[in-house]
Amino acid sequence: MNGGAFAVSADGIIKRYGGTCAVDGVSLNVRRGGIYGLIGPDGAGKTTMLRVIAGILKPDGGEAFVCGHSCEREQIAVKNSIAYMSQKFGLYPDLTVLENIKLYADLYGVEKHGMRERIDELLDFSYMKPFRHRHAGKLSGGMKQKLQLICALVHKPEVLLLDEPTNGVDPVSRRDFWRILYGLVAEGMTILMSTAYLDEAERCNVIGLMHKGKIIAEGTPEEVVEKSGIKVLSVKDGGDRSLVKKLKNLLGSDRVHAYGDRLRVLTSDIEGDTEKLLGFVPEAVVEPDRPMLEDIFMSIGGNADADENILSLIAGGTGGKTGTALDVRGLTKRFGDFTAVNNISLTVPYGEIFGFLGPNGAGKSTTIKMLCGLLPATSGEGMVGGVDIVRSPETIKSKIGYMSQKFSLYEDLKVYENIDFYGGIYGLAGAELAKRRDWSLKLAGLEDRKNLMTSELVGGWRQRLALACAILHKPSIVFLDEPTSGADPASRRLFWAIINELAGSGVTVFVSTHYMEEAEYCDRLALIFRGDMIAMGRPSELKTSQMQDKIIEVLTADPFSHMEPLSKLDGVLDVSLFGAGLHVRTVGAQEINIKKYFTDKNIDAQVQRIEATMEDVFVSMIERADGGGK
Amino acid sequence: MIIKLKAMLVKELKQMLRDPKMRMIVFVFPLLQLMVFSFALTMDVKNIDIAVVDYDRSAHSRELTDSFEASGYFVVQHRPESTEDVKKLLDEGDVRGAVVFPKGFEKGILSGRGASVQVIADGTMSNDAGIIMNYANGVVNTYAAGKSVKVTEAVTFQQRNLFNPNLLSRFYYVPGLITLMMMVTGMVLTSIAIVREKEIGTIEQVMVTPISRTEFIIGKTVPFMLTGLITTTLMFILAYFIFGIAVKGNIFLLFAVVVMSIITYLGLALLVSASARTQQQALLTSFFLMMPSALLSGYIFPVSNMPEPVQYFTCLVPMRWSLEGIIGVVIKGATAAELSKQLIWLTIHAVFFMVFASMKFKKTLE
Amino acid sequence: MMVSPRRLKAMVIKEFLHILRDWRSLFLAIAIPVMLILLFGYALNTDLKNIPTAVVDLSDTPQSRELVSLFDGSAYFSVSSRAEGYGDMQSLMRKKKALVGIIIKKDFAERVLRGEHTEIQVLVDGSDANTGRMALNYVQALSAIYNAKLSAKAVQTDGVRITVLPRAWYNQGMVSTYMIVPGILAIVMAVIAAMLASVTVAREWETGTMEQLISTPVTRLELTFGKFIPLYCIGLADIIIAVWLGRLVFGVPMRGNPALLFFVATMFLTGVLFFGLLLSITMKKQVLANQIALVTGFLPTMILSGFVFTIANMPLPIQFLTYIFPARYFVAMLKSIYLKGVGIEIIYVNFLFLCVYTLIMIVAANRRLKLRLN
Repeated sequence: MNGGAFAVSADGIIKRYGGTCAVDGVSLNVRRGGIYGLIGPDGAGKTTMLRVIAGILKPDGGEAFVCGHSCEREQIAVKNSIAYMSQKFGLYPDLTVLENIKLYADLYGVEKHGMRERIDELLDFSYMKPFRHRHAGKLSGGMKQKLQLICALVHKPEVLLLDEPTNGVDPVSRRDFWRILYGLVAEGMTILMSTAYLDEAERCNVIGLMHKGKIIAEGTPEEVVEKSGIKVLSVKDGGDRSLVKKLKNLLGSDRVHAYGDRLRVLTSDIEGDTEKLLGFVPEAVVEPDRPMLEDIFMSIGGNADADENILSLIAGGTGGKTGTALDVRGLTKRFGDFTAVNNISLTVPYGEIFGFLGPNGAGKSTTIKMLCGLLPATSGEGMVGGVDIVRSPETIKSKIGYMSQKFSLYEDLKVYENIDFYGGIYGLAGAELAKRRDWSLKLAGLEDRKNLMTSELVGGWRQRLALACAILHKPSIVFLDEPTSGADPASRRLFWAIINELAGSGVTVFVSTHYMEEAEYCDRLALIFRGDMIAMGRPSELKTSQMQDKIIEVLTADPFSHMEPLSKLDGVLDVSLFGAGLHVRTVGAQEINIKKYFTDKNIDAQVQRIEATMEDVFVSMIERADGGGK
Repeated sequence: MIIKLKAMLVKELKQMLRDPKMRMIVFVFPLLQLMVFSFALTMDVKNIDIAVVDYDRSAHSRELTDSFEASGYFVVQHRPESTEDVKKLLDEGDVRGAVVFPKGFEKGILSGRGASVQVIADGTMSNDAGIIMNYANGVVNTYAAGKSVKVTEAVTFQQRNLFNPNLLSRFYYVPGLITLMMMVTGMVLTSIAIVREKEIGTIEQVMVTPISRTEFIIGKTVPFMLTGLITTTLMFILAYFIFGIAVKGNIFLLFAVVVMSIITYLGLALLVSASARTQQQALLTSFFLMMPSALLSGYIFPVSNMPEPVQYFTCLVPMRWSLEGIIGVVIKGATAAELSKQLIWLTIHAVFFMVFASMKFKKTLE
Repeated sequence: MMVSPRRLKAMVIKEFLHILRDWRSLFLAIAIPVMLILLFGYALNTDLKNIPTAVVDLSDTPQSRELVSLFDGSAYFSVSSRAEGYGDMQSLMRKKKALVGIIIKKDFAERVLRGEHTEIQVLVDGSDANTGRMALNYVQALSAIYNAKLSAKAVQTDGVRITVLPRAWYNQGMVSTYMIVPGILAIVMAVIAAMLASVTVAREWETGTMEQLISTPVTRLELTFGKFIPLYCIGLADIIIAVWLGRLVFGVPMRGNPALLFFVATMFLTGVLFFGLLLSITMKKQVLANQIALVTGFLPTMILSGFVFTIANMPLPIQFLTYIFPARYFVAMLKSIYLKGVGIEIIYVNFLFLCVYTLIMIVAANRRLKLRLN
């Protein structure tokens, strides 16, 4: 077998689980030194493909090759030339960072000579050096992923297989992670990854869009977008949350979706639809936009979940309340001498969507846990749903719904059994329980799957079930801790549709997220960093009045190679990857300098000043709070 | 309250019994063990292989040797030439004892001076050795008595075995084994009940619901209680049909003792589960508790044999009370009044462990 | 299949770290054998002493009191209660306040003084047959002494006197600790295997670390031996503690060759640890593996190994069954080495059986381990 130009090639891979076909004759080839991204809805077969190529899953048909070695017959050779990073954190929590790295270095037989240097280099590169003696279990989500990446990289593999490596990782850490990946590609490594973030997919050289076990589109991101023939209109209005619903009624539900602070409308007739839209919402700004992978994703289906009749389920399902839902002052939590949450005060009315943003380990989850009475606060006072949080945390629990960051339903129960269980302990029984069960199954789009074992649910389906269980008892306040992390775009949209409806019916929703476009859907946001609330306000306020830096977008080929020189220019604070391009954060408007850089080098580049995105705001504020950043 | 408990119950039962392997462990294993171990557990020493060294080679020595065999306890397997060979036989474990007739054995008897015979037993099983000695004494005495004129003893010690006239050891070991199985299966399954949810993370979602600590603890107890009762009932049925062990006392009293015992073990196990961090820790800890419980309960080693301080300590061993209670009802036919001490102690244990477990279980994270 | 010493070392270090970080489990692994030995050595023995005895003395004369004090004065009986009559006596036994009851008739003293024949009723709690039988033996012995006392003048010149000279080899005093310490060694090791080895692989599957691990070039042998070696070290430490405690605290003699003891123990430990690993590999669930280890490893070691209950006393089918449990061979060898002081030339059959078992376990564990998902 000759690998030729391909580092990885798969030929007609078939894998069945029971009656269902997870992967149905997939063939793919990954060129050396490139990044190949597998994207697709939950359960499309991405993880199965990666496992087959990593040689840890035996396919029912077809064969995969890595660097010309068969994944079936030459396992040792394959395993020596790859590194695989599983979706679930696969390192040992009771071992320290360094111990984990050394274990993998030894397992891969990294040459002793220079091993120390290699480890040091990786630790430095990933900014993990200060934490090398910390137990892996005590790292934040982003650091865990970086550690897993270091362990995978320690033997300089030829091919890197990553299964959704940035799930649950905050934007700052995600930028860091990608900086490392680009560095690796520059050294000639081949990367095959799956991802739920479509802005990451835009950075891949080649993407494969999987759907129902097949690759339905393949090529560069631009090619895939182009081939799809999709045209997009972007609609921006004053922030009427019910507009999505209205437009869906107007144009059909599978053509409209929200993205960040805009709505995107898939269209085949730009002019006609523009007119139609302007006629409907005269005050809106309607303009044609570059189609993104996100749009394609929405066009391949799954969107039908969030249709009208499901959403109407909610309106009748919750009692509308008014007034203050939550009011806390000086909430503080210390673990030993470490302050996880420092002096947070909040007042939130019923019917508001309140978002928590912040890096991994900043204290978002701790805050949420204190608010739902799970974790006693060290100091502070207040009330949730009219109940004192210090004196009667148990009473709070019947008024709230909570969905934890980590999936925490019973995997050894069936889907409907989980719902019955939670219904039961919330005191529902008989006909009422049956009614609520049907309601929640319909709401989460799980009706066809209600007899499955929960362990068989993948990705976003699990989160839907968790949400269904959390709102089963009609709580008036709902806490969702990273509810959409790792879910596919369709699931995420469904989630937000439900959240919107809940809020519309008077329920207060607290939500934390790492997807910055989702932050835009919140009424108010709090940015938490190292236990402190460093900013709070409406998304538009944060982006304008509270944002001091300016953002310049650069679109060019091979953006990674320009990051280093650009960041050395005068007045440039930071250069980061954004989608397929770069965002340059500057003190004033430095377009001139940047344009000059590219014209001097005679490189074709599009440079323009843009309004800051939520992600820019996030990064800018974090770095300012951090004292200037790196 | 009832709705919440029912929800817990259904969930726990489904989780426990869905896996066919688990069903085996819950219902089949205890019965299987009862069968095998009941046959194995016996202190009745039978068919003792012995070697006979006859330096005398006389009619009397041969007669006495025959008496040994005729007794039913001993089987003469070897007749070595000298005591040296006896050592080798014992070393290899071919025989468990030996009888040595010295030269002049017959002469001693006939002359009326008296004779002696040496009995050697393998002391590595000290218990068996004692019993072998006793049997040997009996054989020799009977033989000697047969040779002499009958002397009527002035005082006869008339003996009667209460409760178990034929001194069959299974009448004791089988109910005891049932008690042991109750503890082992109950504790091992339950000790991971809470810590498993902690390890997997499912506890977090339960903690934000309005279910109270007591409801949670009861919800965790009842399913194991049910399976425990079913298994125990099956074991008693098996004991009746296979070993002929009928319950002499009141069946409701037995039920009360069994229920209290199970509650005690479950309480203890939940306490372990609430304190442990990992399943492995919980399993090891419950083992750490079960082992001395079994040994100090008086099941194999009588409590009255233990040093006095330890005897007092055994009051804190729940299995002691459930064992005495079950043997009391099943074999001796004791009444509730007669077992009041056992019942009171069991109740104290049950209440203490349950309360302590629900106190130890916190509905907040740390 | 090849083994790279470096990967093996890495696995061993990792497993050691797991054990060291989980100090509670480590503590328990060491504490269990210590506790067992102290319990057995100090608190538990099968030698019956001070049997609680109840007396109904209807005669209440110097003669009857003499008889009672003869019982009370012996090491075997301790007269702990007085009863009113037969019914009362039974009730005492049901309450477990007495194991033996003595009923002395009203005309006892008169008849003894007149030299007539009379009877003493002795009731024994037969619910524990073993204890009951021993108690009976003691009663018989006392009966002989009492009669001898009474007829001190009546010389039995016409009787035949044959004295039995008893000797218990290897354990002259018939001390039960001597037989128990070697037995504990077997139990301890069965426990280490049952409780520790059975969770190791299953835990990696349950927590998801296995998926990452099997994507590396690690081989099956490296994985199994990587898990085996640290557990073996703990087991060995336990053996050393047990032998040392037995010797120092309870004075159990060690007559054979210590090197042989450790060699045999190593073989047994290897066998049972790989059995534990096999369970863990096959079951993939900590609870299941642990339960089965307990049922097939620990309890049989306790009951079917010949440690407390002599195999020769069991029914034949059960005797055959004991052959599949390696503890049987191990306990037999331990007793031989420990108390009889014999060498390999005597115990080789048992040793061969054990070797075969161990080999089967190593091969089976490695064959069952699949470095694949699902």
